[in-house]
Amino acid sequence: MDLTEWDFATQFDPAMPSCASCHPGGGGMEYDRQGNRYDQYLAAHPELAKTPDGDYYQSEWDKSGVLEADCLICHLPNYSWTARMNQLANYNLKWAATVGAGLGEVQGSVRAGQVPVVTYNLRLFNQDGTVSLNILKSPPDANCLQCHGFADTLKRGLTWNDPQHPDVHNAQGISCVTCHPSGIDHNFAKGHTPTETVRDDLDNTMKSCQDCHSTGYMGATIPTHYNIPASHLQTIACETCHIPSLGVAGRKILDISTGAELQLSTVPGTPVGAPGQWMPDYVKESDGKIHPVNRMILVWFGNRNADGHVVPLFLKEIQPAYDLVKGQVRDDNGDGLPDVNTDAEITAMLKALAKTLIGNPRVDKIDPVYVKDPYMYSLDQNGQLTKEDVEAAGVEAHANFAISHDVAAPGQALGAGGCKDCHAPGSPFFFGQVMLDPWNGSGQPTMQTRASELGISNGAATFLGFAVATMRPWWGILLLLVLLAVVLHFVVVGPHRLEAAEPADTGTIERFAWSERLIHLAVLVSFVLLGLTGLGILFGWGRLLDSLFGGAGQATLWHSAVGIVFFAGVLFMAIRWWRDGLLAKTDWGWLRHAGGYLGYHGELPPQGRFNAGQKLYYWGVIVGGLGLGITGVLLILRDRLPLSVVFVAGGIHIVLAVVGVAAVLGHAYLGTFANPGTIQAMFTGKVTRAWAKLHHSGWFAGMH
Amino acid sequence: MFLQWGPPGPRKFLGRVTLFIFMLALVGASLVAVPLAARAYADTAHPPIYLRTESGQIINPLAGQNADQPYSPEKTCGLSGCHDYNQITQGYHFQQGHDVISDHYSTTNPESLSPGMQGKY
Repeated sequence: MDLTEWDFATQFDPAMPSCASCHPGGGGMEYDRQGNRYDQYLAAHPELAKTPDGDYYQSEWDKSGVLEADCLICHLPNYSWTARMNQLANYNLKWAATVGAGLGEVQGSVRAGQVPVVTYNLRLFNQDGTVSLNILKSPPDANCLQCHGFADTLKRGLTWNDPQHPDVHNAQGISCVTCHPSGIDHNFAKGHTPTETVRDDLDNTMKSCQDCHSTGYMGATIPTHYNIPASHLQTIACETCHIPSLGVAGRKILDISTGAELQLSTVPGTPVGAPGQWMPDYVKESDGKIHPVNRMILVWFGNRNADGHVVPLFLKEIQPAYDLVKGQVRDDNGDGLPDVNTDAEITAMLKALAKTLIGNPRVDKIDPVYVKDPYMYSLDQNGQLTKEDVEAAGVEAHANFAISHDVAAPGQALGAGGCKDCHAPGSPFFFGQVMLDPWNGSGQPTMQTRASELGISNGAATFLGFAVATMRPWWGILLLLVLLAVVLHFVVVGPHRLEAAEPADTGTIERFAWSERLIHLAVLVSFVLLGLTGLGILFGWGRLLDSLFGGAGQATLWHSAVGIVFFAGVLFMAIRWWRDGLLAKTDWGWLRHAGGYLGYHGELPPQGRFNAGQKLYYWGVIVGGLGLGITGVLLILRDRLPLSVVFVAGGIHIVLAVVGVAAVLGHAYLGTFANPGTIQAMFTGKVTRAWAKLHHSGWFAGMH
Repeated sequence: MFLQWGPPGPRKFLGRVTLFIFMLALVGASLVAVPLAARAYADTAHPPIYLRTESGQIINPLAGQNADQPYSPEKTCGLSGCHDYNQITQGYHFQQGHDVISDHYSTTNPESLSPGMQGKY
């Protein structure tokens, strides 16, 4: 912060009140690091104000008094933060609480060398001299927002108590302290803060979404999420879907490269804090879930000390260097602000810093660096500009501020409109552009997609979007068309009936051994279960899955477990029947006439144990089944794999699954209605000799 | 006439006794309930307090006592028997890391002296 304690309390500039305007006093505003009260200790040791002691340097504590903890900042409705701020600006520290609470007015300013005098509002006093103030045990939200509204708007575009951009909880009367309670220790429960470092031991101690929405606490809705895949509930935080956008511009870029604090908002062309719609960035955090954040880009200069640690430079250390070179730094993107973006400008600034840092007691080796995502720039021994990735350099080029407020109504959540909300081609969730580098060498921002921000290639996101969103309505149509086709075939062409058997063709012949029937049965039953659960997950048949399996989560577990059985069955089939599946020359003649299924009544070439159509179907099952099995295993292991791999595997799995279901529908028809006498082979293993002679004359001749 | 003089009959006597007991019970309940209600209301409102200076003296501008002095939250709210000022101000809203501030707080970021705003870089 580069501030002394006195600066912390009293330093103002036109854009920013002093820190103590919000920080409510007590602690370091009252006592120094040795536990002495500032005013008493400085009165006893006035020489301290001339020493570099950070508690007393250039201070006037003996005249201003200290800032005791001001209880009424939080506990008194209509406390005036502005009045408090004005007193602090005049160094009237011990008078600030009186004025902020509206108890009286103050004339005089310590800053002007005066002794302030209070004039109390006599109407507030009872006859006995006491005051009866409307002090509340639970702070009103307006009091919290006096400070947190300003700071959190910068960090995350927070709105609360704002009827134009309501949070559903706020609209229902939930107050700040409902979710962020504390006891007498005043250590308020904190939420999810990946970037901030104050009392990390209190992170996630507040009421979480689940605390209320899984128990119905205070009438909270208990969601069923019927149409949401279980994998989404496991890997995506609640806030991601339920905070689809923000309504007030936050700070997107903090640039101190010119020695001044410059900021740009999350909504281009809109000032920070003004109304403007924007979508969060999304990152996968240490809990394994995707969370919405404001990825604030930080542009700064530092110095790499002898031990390799990069220390950020203060504004007052950067400004002298900028003053030397500002004629060389242009505004390349036309936003009215200078951009240190070209190699020449960066080099000029680094060389200027190398001069102005001479004699700086904070650096033991002069090696200035410039940090701007995605690189850290420095000068080599020859004075040439070099750069390295910020991750490798171990410096922070951005800060991810968690977004937890501005929860939208359920109907506006991502996914309320189906999978296409996120997975449709071009959807903002995956394909919206987010800033990586605010000003590249050309002065233009370098952008990337949100998919890339999550480590997902655009191709993988596009492919899964095609399978899940684009094709979703067509998958159903495909399956209906297959059903329609088989019905039409049965009506128009009819079943392939046996001719009257010759006397020598009576009796049965074994077609499939018991082991073959067992493999087929296992694959059949497992595929039916996989189809039911898989289509249920794909099309969001939440109520059906809930009634049959106990929910989408349970259905997913069934799908994974049964999928292993299916995969094993396919492998067995590959081993058991691969010879029977080999195509022969005679198969082409069969295929040319579509096996007689399209009305051909002439003689077909003799077929082996499997006809040509069955052979093609067999290889389709093997290839498709292996594909489903391999992608299925990848999806089971999704938590350990890159998201791009998971997305591609998921897309392939869906395509193979739906095509497979369509093929199985046809296979089932051909094995039952289209060819009477076939299905018994599945159960008894036997077929009639007449059937064998008709359908597989080549195989029959060999058996005979 | 509405009123009849002379001793009442047994039924009327019983009715009058019953009415008397009922009225007595109502008055008695009110005597108990009203203060209870008032106390309940009073429990939610902060009681009247004296403002006090940082040396603990009462501020009473009506009597000319310390009428030009600012009030001290510590001596007013933290008066013995009211609120534990020392315990409350240990909270991180007040301390902001000041209670753990140290030149050796962080080895990875030595420029940060605490986890809070007091001593944060």
